[in-house]
Amino acid sequence: MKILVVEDELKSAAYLRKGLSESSYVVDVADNGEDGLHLALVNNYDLIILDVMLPKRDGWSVLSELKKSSVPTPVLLLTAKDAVQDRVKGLELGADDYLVKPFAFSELLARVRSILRRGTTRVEQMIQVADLEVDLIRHRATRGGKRMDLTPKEFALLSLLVRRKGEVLSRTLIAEKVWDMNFDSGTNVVDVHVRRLRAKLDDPYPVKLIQTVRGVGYVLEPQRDD
Amino acid sequence: MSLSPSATTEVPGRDRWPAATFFRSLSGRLTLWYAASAFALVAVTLGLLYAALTNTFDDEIDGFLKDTTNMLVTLLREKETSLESLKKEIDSELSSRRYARVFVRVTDSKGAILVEAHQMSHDFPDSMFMLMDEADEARHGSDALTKRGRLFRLMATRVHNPENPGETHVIQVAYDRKHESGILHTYRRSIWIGLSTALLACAIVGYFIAHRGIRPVQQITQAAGRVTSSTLHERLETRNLPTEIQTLAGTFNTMLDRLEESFRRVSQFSADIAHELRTPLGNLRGGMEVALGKPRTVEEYRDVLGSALEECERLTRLVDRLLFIARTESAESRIELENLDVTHELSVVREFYEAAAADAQVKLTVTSEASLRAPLNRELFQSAIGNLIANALRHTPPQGEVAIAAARANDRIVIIVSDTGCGIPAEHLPHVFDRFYRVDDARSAASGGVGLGLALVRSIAKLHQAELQIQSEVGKGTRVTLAFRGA
Repeated sequence: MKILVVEDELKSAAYLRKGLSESSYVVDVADNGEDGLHLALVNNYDLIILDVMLPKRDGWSVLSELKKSSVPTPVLLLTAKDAVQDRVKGLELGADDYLVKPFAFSELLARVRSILRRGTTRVEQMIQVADLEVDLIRHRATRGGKRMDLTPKEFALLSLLVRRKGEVLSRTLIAEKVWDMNFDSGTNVVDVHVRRLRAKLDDPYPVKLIQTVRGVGYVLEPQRDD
Repeated sequence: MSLSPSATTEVPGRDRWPAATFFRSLSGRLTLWYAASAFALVAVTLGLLYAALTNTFDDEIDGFLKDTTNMLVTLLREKETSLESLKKEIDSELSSRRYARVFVRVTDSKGAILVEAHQMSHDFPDSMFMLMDEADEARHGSDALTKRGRLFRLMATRVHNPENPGETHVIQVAYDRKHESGILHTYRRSIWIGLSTALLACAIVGYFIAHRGIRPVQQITQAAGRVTSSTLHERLETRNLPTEIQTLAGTFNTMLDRLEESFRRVSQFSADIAHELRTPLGNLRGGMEVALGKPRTVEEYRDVLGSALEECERLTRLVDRLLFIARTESAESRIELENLDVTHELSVVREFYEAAAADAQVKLTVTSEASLRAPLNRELFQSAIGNLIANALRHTPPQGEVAIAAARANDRIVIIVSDTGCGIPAEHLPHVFDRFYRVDDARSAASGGVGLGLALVRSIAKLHQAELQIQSEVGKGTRVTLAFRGA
């Protein structure tokens, strides 16, 4: 998967390149709007991450040029402005998603994956991680063949974690996906829910599946190999 | 906010035209008006007196002219024939009079001169006289200048002889006004001297009155000029001021009150913000410095980075919230509203906080009328209710209860979040929605708040034009009421 990052701030560009490369994406970086537009027109990318404030040619202009040239590549806009009007403008111009700086890298990664997954979604019925089996259709989860008694929200949390297994999910994302809470609650509310799920999922077993990634969020995988 | 660079306002052209500046000033105008009106009063009075004097003189002279005419009539009728004796009689009569400068001429109906005293024909031809009838009791003389430039008052009277109806005489009398003219001249000079003195006096007195009258205004101006950020606590002394100025000074003082309060809040806010930023920055810096101090295991590095991330998150949240609050406070912010099912949203929020409540052993309940709808911004509404619940949970001891009730009241959707927590002392209540305001520093810091949650709620209420109230009783609990416009 090839991603073009158009970002003029050197440190931001550097960590985006590093982070995305380590998540096994191929990354090109342009540090101004003109170069970014040129690269986007001549190369075939799977995704463009576009900063709005750019030298030579701003992100809005790059975006509308791309759409004018019928480039089908999805675009994720990055900006320091979070006024509603800006968000609306970005989406109206044809951006696929919108992220306000400063953002958590995990958040960006989640959005990137979500955009790239679009169109290729296949409905899985059964997902298996180690000895955990989750039946998304029947809302049933078993570990080591033993059925777990989960509340609907606990099951929703678990199914989010298994569908995105191996992916670190931020608390904000979890709150949004499971409880439809779209604001930054800024509390440890999500932690409490995860702890309750762990009590049923992990506590009785020696192998822990839900891992805490400090300062980032949670990930479901047998163990972090690091 | 600095008032120092130009405390006095420069009037353009002040140096070249001091008079223009003076009359543009209030004291200048007052002086001008006062002097002008007082002077006009004096001038009119003197003018009227002068006119009265002139009239008196005219009347007196006219009386004299009539007397003289009557005397001549009597003489004419007594000594009808002898013109010589008449002339003698006239001469003796006139010389016995105090006023020597009287001219007399008697003509018959055809204009032939019968008697003439002092050769008056040379100076006073017939044409100068306005002929009047003896019967006209109100007849008056007319003023005329001789060729030699002397002022006379003339009177010509037609006289009928009652014994001989066909016979008429014309008696012409001229009176030299030299004496009265002299008196009037002196009088006029006095008037001019009086008027110039009055003008000067009125201007000077007017200036002092005006100056004295507007001194309080100058005092206020000077006081206003002295106001700087460091002297905002000073107030104007209003007790001895005149009523009108007292109101002005009072308004000025009220403005200073508000300025001082705003200023205090701004500086307090800056201090709070600096403090809130310093803590996570200090943690970040300290943690990293120590980590880099010597080689460490991967595990230790990971720990430091994780801690740094947490601090970044804290900073991000702080900045986000401050920006949001600042934006709602400054310009007219607009939000997107949707017709939201309040009942459903409340249960969604409750579900989210349920685990946290259970953890704190606090009962979290929602009582709502079915299908309440209101035009709300979903994210902001969740945020407001979420912050209120989080705040209530934070201050409610185990076995307590946090209750959310929603109902329709008139055209409003009223949501009440009440708890059985520790309560807030009355003196803190007016400030709890202020940014960074904390009732108890130690406890809030320990429970993770930065003092922005309730300020955020207030901003959200403001954006929705909702009413926000808080009631509290120490030891019993707190009750926050949000009244949104209903759908």
